[in-house]
Amino acid sequence: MRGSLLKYTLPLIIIGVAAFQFYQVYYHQLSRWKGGGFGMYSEVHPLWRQVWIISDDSTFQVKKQPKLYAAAYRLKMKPDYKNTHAFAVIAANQFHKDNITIQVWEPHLDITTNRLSRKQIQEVKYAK
Amino acid sequence: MQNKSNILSAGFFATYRKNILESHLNQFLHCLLLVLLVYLIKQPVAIFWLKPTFLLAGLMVWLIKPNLTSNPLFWGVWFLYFFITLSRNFYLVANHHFVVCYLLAAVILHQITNIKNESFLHFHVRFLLLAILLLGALQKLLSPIYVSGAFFQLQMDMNYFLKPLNLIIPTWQEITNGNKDLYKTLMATNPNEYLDVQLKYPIQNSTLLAKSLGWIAIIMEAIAGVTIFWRHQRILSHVIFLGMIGGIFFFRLETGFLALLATMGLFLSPSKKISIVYTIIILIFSLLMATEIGLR
Repeated sequence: MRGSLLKYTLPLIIIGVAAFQFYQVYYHQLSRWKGGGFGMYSEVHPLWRQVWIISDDSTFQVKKQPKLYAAAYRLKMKPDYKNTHAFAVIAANQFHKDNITIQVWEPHLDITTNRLSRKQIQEVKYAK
Repeated sequence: MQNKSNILSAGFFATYRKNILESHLNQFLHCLLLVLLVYLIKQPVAIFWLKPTFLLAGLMVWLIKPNLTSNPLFWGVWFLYFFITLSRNFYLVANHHFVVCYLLAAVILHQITNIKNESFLHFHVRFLLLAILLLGALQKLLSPIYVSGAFFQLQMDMNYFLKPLNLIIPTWQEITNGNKDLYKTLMATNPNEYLDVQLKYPIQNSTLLAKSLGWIAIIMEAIAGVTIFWRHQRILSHVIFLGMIGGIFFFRLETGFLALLATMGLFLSPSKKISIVYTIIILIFSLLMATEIGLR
């Protein structure tokens, strides 16, 4: 009994983490690259994604802005509603905006024509 | 007095070297330690004191008890470091960070339970390889962008995959550089304008190649995972596994992850010749990782 427990505990943990990763991928938009599900090289790397901020008077991409960069990095890995909303709150406070829209985009290649475009994977409109 | 200490230290190193050469487990653990050291040094960590503290703790435990085959405290120090960094950045760390934690847990479990019997460790290493490779294949199968061939095509268009082909096909570099410029131009525009760009194919029949290689990767991963789990004592299983490592290396210099796979392969190796191949691969990949030519 003790032997079986010791033998199968680690495999069960590995399967459990992978199952949780699958759940996160399908229900919380986690990138397949992350979370211990071994999905690297099965889709475009999340760092290829872009986070755009749209307010009444400007539209710009989050790049190296202090405070926002680390939050945007996390958002790219898991751009679900919760993370995007949390990012919108940070951005609205940072830029002193009452209304702000956060969009997450990723590259999209049409395999038949080799034309590259972008596909929106998340949008959250936030108002204070 | 000086002579006596020289003899003692020479004796220590001779015994240490003899243990490594004679014990398969010792070779595996030393190779694992090498890969972990390089990975730890190269991995950026936000808490500045974390690395030196754990390195010092590991060194002290090693000095007290240099035998790595029965030193759970030493491996516990490493496990704690990687577990802390993993739990702080669960959704940010690479998959090999998870592999490191699982592998260290397996080593510790082996050392605190039954030191002489390696069957548990054997089973855990084989299962870990099976899980990595089968899950890798499954994730690809379930990903629409991968199955369509679009992911592979985009990586080829941008010169991220199959870089060695630069040396064989003269126009490859020029075309992919042009594609990279187009990519940068597109990415700088507002995505709400819904613009697109026409990328060039690096070679003729590029789409067919992308789709074929994508499916070959899935099949190779699945076969390598299954054979190494059920037929690990056969040379052919290791030839397939090594072929897969070589194939991934040809696509992308994922040296950190591949060094870990080779370390596990070394532990399961059924012959001395195969062990030497694994050891050479581990040393080369660790060097590439340390010099940042390869990926961490």
